[in-house]
Amino acid sequence: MNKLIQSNILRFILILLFQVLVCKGINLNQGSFQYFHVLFYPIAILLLPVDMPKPYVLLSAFALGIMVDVFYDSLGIHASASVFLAYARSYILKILEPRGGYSVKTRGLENMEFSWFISYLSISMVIFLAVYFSMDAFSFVYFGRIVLNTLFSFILSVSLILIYQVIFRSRT
Amino acid sequence: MIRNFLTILIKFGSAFLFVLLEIVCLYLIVNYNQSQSEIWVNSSNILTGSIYEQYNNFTSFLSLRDEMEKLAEENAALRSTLLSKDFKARQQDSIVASNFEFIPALIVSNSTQSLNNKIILNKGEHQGIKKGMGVISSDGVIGVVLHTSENYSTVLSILNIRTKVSGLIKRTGTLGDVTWRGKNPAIVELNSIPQYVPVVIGDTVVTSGYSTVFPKGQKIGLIENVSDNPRTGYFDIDVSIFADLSSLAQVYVVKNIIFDKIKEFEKVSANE
Repeated sequence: MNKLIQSNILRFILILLFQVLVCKGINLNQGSFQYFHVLFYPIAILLLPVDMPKPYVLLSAFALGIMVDVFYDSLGIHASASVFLAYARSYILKILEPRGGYSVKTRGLENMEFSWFISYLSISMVIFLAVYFSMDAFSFVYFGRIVLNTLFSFILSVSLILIYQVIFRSRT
Repeated sequence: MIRNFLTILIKFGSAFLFVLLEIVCLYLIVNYNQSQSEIWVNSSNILTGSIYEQYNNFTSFLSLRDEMEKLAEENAALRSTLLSKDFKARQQDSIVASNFEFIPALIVSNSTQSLNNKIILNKGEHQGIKKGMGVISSDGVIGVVLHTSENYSTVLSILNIRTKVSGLIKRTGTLGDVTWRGKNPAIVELNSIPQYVPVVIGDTVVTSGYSTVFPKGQKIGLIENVSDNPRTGYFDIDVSIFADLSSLAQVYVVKNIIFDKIKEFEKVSANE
């Protein structure tokens, strides 16, 4: 159990560093087309153990979001989106619960079937990105921009997370 | 009772925590992010600006006649200044003549009822309007630009208790501050005029030109009432303003071309 906590904390920190040091530098935008944003770090929230108590999930998501915000100089925006995702996570998990419940509790969500993981990731990322870009624009006047940002960033971020998933999935 | 409360807390604890954390986030967003905080403070610019403009497109039709008369009057006044000898002399004074540009704008929303009167104009950053620029009409000073968005800007009206305009009495050349006390939308106050100055009821108050906001000599109003204030040693002067802010439509935003240079100079001289 102790090892599980340690590996989660380590993953948390590594993902945070990857986001702020590598993903922040990726810029695929050309001219007036400014809709690509690479948001990789939500995977850290998604991969937290299934049986982790909700308040802890919320608090760690808040901490993660604030850390990212400090680097992005946008205090509160990432944090609000990741707290929202953390709260929504338990409901998404409930909807997607396989027959017979989560049997892999101790080994973590990354070892679930790949198809299950894709739907889990997609739902979560749509929610996360929609909240994030709404907070970023802060007014529904910019609805079109929020949708475009969500769409393009979704494609980019999800592909990156899936690549990560393929590489680091523990081989069984 | 306490036990009930605890069970509720345990049952919905994470929901409470969620709401709490989101409130913290919103607080941080509004306080530490410029564009979001401006939207928060000033959502009128973006959303209500366009609604007001639609509404004004309908209603402006009703006041066309008045507007036309006003513009005709203004034309006549401009013609007469063009003919006067004074104008030629002033034209040669290139420093005064070339410092200011005027951007015409239409008022899309206006208020005179509250203590915090603001005006929304249908021009914004795209048309070159920036925070801190002065706004005048053909009848004199209107206010100062407070916020700008892409196509709208909010103006702190002269009828706002936060506004302070540097003004002077035209006849004596005495400098004072024009503020509004928040009672009568036709009366502003001229402060810090010492009691030895021979102030006469009916004197004209104009802008001083000592700030970068307004050009010198823009009309503000007529002195209506003067009373001694033994406490401060200054006069309490009521000025009735020329501009009728409740029926305004057309205004001009004053753009000071050398504003940046003046600011830069001020910074340099402050450092020395």
